[in-house]
Amino acid sequence: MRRALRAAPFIGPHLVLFAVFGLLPGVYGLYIGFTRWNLLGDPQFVGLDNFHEILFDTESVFHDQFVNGLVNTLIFVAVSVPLLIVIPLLLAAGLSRKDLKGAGFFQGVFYIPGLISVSAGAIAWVLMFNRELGPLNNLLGTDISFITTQPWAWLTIFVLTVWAGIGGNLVIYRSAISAVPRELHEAAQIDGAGTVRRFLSVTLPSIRFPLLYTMVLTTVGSFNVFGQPMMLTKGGPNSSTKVLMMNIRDLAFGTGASIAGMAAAMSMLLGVVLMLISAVQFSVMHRGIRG
Amino acid sequence: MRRTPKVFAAAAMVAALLTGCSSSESNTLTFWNPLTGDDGAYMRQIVQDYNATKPQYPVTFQPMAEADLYTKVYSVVNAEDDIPDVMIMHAARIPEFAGAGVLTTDETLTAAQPQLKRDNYQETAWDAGTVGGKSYGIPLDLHGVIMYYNKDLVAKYGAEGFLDDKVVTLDELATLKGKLPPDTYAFAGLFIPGVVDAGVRNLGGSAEPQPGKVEMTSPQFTTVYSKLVQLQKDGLIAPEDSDSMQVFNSGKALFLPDGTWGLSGHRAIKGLNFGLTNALQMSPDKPVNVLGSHQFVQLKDGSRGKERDKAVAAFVEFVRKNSLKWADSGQIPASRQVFESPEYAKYPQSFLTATSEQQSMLKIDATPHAGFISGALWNHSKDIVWGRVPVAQGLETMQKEIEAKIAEADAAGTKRD
Repeated sequence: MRRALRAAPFIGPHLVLFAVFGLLPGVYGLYIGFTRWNLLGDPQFVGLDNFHEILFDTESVFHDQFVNGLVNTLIFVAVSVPLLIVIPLLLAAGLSRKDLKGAGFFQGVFYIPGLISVSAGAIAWVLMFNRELGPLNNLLGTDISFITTQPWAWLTIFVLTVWAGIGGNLVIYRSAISAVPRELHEAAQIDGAGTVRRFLSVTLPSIRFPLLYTMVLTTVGSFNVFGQPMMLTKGGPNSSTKVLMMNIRDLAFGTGASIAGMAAAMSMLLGVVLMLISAVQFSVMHRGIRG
Repeated sequence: MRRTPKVFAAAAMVAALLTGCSSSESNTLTFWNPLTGDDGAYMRQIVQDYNATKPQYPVTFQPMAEADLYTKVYSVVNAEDDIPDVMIMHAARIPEFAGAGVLTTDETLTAAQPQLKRDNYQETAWDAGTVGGKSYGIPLDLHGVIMYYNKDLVAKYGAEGFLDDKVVTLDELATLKGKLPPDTYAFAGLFIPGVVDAGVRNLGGSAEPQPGKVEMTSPQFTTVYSKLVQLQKDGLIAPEDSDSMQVFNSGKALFLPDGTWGLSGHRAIKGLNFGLTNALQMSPDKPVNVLGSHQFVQLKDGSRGKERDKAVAAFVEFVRKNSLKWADSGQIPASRQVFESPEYAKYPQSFLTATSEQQSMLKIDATPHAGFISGALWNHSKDIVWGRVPVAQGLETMQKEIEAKIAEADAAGTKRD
């Protein structure tokens, strides 16, 4: 008991913040998901109606929006998560070479885009991809309308995501790689292992915890994607990049009366998907650590 | 370390004081508005001019992005705290908030300042704040998508005739097919939804002819979109991914449907010789300008005393008499004293209210579900016009989407207790 009291000042502030900004809104959001509410009048309890309509009523517009949004979100996650793991990992491995000068500078260069807001970054990238004025079409000698045609619309989103997102994981991987005992590399080298072999057999197993940790966080972050498609493609062309968070925001805080109950139900279902995937990842992670 | 508890105590006290200091207890009036663009600077000046008269309750100008403004309204209404003394609401949103019972009627303001009455305002603007026979808003302005044209290009490509009757039609634009060089366009299409809205009204249609009854698949919508698709196929609309403002401002488009609020931006372009005319139409018969209106409204707040309401009324009355500056932003002041003044006649947008015939062309989109309709038009118009979705399918999608939202919203539309 005394130990718990001693820990309280340390854990307390975070616990309070988590309760106020995480737990309470989450529970309240769950409640709203069971209601029909316009955020102004009195919420009407409708039980599981919203969830039933979203999941099973194939005639419903909200069902279509949920399915389309979820599929687009899954496409984003399936492509962006590997990119946000592999690219920073390779960069970190390259920057960790002892004979490389200016590694810190390059780490800073890769990290800075992450400090820039998605909106500002998107404005810059919209100009880069501009069909008439952008340098990309001029360099490639092409006439591609990147923002309004597929698969280019997705490409613009992934470029912005990777540009803004590699810095965070890169710092974690560099730190983890620098902690790998040098003796392991030397022993492998004596055994005749080359650079690639040592990376696969020494570096990767040694940093598996930070690797899995970043995988979980990157996946969770990617499921909540909103800014990149909102700023770059506005969900187009033909809703092909309209992710679930855009539909949720459109319903709750769109151009007309709020349809908060349906929006909250969709966000809860997205949360369930996230929890399931995170549970699988954590399970793999724990197995990896024990193994 | 010993000082730490004192620091915490001081911080807690400041926080408590700040929390307790709600707008209804301060000696300033909180004025929320969505004027974050160029127009915000002009309204800020009007507020400063009002405060310079040394009123008992000076006004605090608080602009915020439109989406944030309405989200904050939801928050303060539910918290019943930090409710602004007065705010600007778009006429299209008044039915929603009035229907939910969170707006006060304007009786308090009109009783305190008798000149705040329909006779002293442009009638269409005044009526846009009326729901179910009760008036909730006092109009600041009318604003919306009209038509800008490049005088030099219009002359160069022989399109002056389009402007003879001050009404440019889609059919007239279609005659430019084959007459323009590859990088020059009849018009740039940022505001396609505005063009559709005006075109449908011009043909005698309406997205919501009766409250709750949506007609997105009507012949009028089909006709307007079909014409736009053809213009796009003929290369007369600037490419979808181009910057419409840049296209027009750099002399690559003869016409630009753009908001009245864009006037100051176009004026800033050196060498751009442009004029203004009525919105793009389908037919020269019964042309319409479909506009919006910023309205002063008050959210219900039991803690706001009569003195504060009187002070709000004094501020709104000041704006009524002193909103010529608002015309600098490109908007059309709703105050009769201003829009009928000789000084206002010098403004390019003044033609919209210059004659009774022009005033009869003014329509305001403030049907009960105008927000859903506007959202659908913005979400789907480009897919239709640029041929990714057939016209009929796109309109059917919009119809279903709006109907579903209306069903949900109306079912949830209980009034606050």
